[in-house]
Order: sequence, then structure tokens, then C-alpha cells
Amino acid sequence: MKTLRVALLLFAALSLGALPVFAETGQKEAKALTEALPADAAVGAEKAQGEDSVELNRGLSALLQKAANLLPQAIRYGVACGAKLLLIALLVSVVSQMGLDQGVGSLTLSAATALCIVLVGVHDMTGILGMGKQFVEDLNAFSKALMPTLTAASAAAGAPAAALARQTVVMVVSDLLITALYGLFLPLIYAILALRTVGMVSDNPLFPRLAGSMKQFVLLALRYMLVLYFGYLTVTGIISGTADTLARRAAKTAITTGVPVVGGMISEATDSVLAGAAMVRNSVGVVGVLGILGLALLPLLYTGINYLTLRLVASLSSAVSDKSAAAIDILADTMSMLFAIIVTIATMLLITVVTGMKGVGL
Amino acid sequence: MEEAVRYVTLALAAALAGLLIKRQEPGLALLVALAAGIVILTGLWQMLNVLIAFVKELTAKLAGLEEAVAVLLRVLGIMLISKIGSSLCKDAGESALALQVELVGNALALIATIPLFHGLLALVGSFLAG
Repeated sequence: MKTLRVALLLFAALSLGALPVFAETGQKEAKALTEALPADAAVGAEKAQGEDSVELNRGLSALLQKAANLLPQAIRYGVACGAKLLLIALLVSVVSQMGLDQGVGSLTLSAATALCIVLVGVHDMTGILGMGKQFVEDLNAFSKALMPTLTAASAAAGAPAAALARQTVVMVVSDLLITALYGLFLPLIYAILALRTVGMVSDNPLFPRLAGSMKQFVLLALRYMLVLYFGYLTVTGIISGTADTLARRAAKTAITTGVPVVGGMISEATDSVLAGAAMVRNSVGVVGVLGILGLALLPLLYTGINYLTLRLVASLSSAVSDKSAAAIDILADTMSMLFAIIVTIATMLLITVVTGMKGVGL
Repeated sequence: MEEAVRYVTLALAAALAGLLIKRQEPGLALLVALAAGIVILTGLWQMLNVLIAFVKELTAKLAGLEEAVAVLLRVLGIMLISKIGSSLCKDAGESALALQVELVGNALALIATIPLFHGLLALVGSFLAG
């Protein structure tokens, strides 16, 4: 009896002692994940890691601070782009004021306006489109480091089937997204830009209608990608989460009935072990969330600010030149599509990480 | 303001003189209009130079704008010259010639925008390839 009491005390001490070990392991995993991020995107993830814990709030504060620091630069960039377009609009209005856009001159002026504004706009947009491309590539690389770590932590925390289902879909979708971006979305964005420019030059309603249909296709594709992805996670989460729950209950029952005397206490002690593993999963998840937000911060800030600036410049230039306003609206629409693509891709991975942190089921 | 008054006065004087001469010598009336036009255009050219210098100063501060503004100014110049030429032809009673001058002017202006097409295609091509 005395021996049994000593053994039980020892076991309890070991179980409780495992928690700090798990916490330290969680921080190691978090640090390794942070190193998988590019330096400028790792700010939030680095700040979240304290001496003995990984806290989401600290990381979010650091990201907000970074956004505040980047904001003036993004606004300056947007204002410089807008100033160029406004100058072109003013020059075009001078031509209109001279009455040179009558008859055949109208076609010439439309062509010159559309081409000038679109060329200058695309030239400036190239940097932002490059940010979007870089974001998807960095996210793909980060997800390849994040998902195996999160899967292992989730499996250790008692949800192996759900974790594996998540990792499988993320790996497949991640590569599909890169292919979809380069093979579908970017060419479509440029095609829409070209069609609307041609429509403006030729004054033929066919081209803007075609461009409108393609834009609808892009937005629908993004929407259904998100819906299908979330639907798949929900269904597999319910099925595999239920399987994980049943498996855990069955294991606990087996231990309780199968191991004499101490079976019940051992099966209860597994909960503390799983809780410790859940700490690791949560640390990894927090770094995952902050990593994704850190990667998305720069492209979202620049596309958002530029979109607002272009809309403002279009409104201002409509006072001097309708043709210029229409051309600038084309650029603003392109920016809005890019924004939607970045938000959709970031949301998909964020949902995956958050469901992984939540644990068994959705 | 004095310059504006000077050019308007010159144009009105030329128009009045042309009106008086037209009945006897229509060709001379056209020459009078042409001469007045050249004087006014010379003044306009000096004013445009000031404007163009200002625009160039602005474009120098905003990178990526030089090509587009250069094309726009070229288009503006071509359309202005063809409009003046077309108007003179109409004054001389040659409306067919006037239309041809306008068409030539617009064609040249459209040709002047071709570098923009090339620039746009090159930009898009390099981005999609990269």
C-alpha cells in the first residue's frame, strides 16, 4: 500500500513536471517556425515569444506597430502614383479644352489617354503585383514548414486524423494556389485590363462586357475556392474529429478496464499529457497565425492604399476629363481584384491554422 | 493680360482686313489670315514652351512619366497643327482638303501612340514571364 502511494505520487509529479517540458518544446517549435519566415514578416512571430510563453496579443501589437510604421511609406507611394495620373488627366483636359477632340480627334484622344494612363498605372502597379506574387510564394514555403509541425502537435494533442486531413488538403491546395495564381488569375487580370483599355479606345461596348464577365469569373472563382475549402475542412473535421474523439474515449476505456488498480488514474493522467501537447500545438498555431498575417501585411497595405488613392484620383480627374477618370477606374478595379486574391489566399491558410489550434473537430 | 489683348486685337484686325479684301482678292485674304496666324502661333509657341518646361520639371520629379507625357505632348502638337491647317483650308473653301488634313493629323497622332503600345506589351510580357 505504501509502495503504491509512493508510486502514485511519483507519477503525479512526473505528469505535472511534463507541462514545463512541453512549454519549452512549444517555444522551440515556435522559434524554428519563425526562422522559416522572411525577416520583415517575422516581426509579429518574434515579439509573441516571451521567456516562458507564446502570446498572440504581443504579436498582434507588434504587427499593428509595423503597419503604422509602413503606412506613411505606402501613402507616399499611392500619392506619387495618383499625382502622375492626375497630371496626365490635366494634360488631356487641355487638349479637350482646345476643342481638338471633335470628330475623329475623339478616337485619337481616347486612345492616347487610355494608353498613357494604363501604361503609367501598370508601371507603378508592377511593384505591387510583384509583392502579391512574392506573398503567395512565401506563404507556400511557410505552409510547408508550418503544416507538418502543426500536424505533429495536433496529433500529439489527441487529434491525429483531423490533423492529417488538414495537412493533406493544405499541401495540395497550396501548390494549386501557386498554379492558379500564375496560370489563371494573373493572366486574367491583365486580360481584363487590356480588354477594358481596348474598349475605351474603340468605344465598342463588347470589350468592357467581356472584361466584366471575366472579372465576375475571377471573383466567383475566389468565392467558391473559399467555400469549397472551408466546406472540406468542416466535413473532414467533423468526420475525423469524431473519429479522434471516439478513439480517445475507446483508449481511455481500454486503459481503465485493462490495467488493474491504477488504470483509471493513468487514463486521467493522459489528459494532462494531452493538455501539454495542446500547449505545443497552440504555440505553433499562434506563430502560424502571426506568420501569415506578417506575410500578408505589406501587400495588403499597398494594394489597399493604392486602391483608395486610385478611386480618389478618378473622382478628382472626372472634374476635368471623363476619359481619364474612366481609364483610372480600370486601374482601380485591377487593384481591387489583386486585393481580393491576397485576402482569399491568406484567409484559407488562417482558417486552417485556427481550426488546427482549436483541436478535435471544428 | 496685355499679351492677350495684343493677340486678340491682331486676330480681329486680320479678320476685318480679310473680310474687306475677300470680295476683290480671296487669295490675298487667305494670305492675310495666314500671316496673322503665323504671328499668333509664334507667340503661342513661346507660351507653350513655358508650359512644356513646367510639365517636364514635374515629370522629372515623378519617375516613370517621361515617355507617356512626351507622347501626349506630341499628340497635342500634331492635333493642334492639323486643326489649324484644317481651319485654314475651310476658310479657303476647301472642305475636302480640310477633312484630309484632319485625318492625316489624327493618323499621325495615333502613330505617335504606338511606343505606348510597345511599352505596355513589354511590361506585361516581362511580368508574366518573370
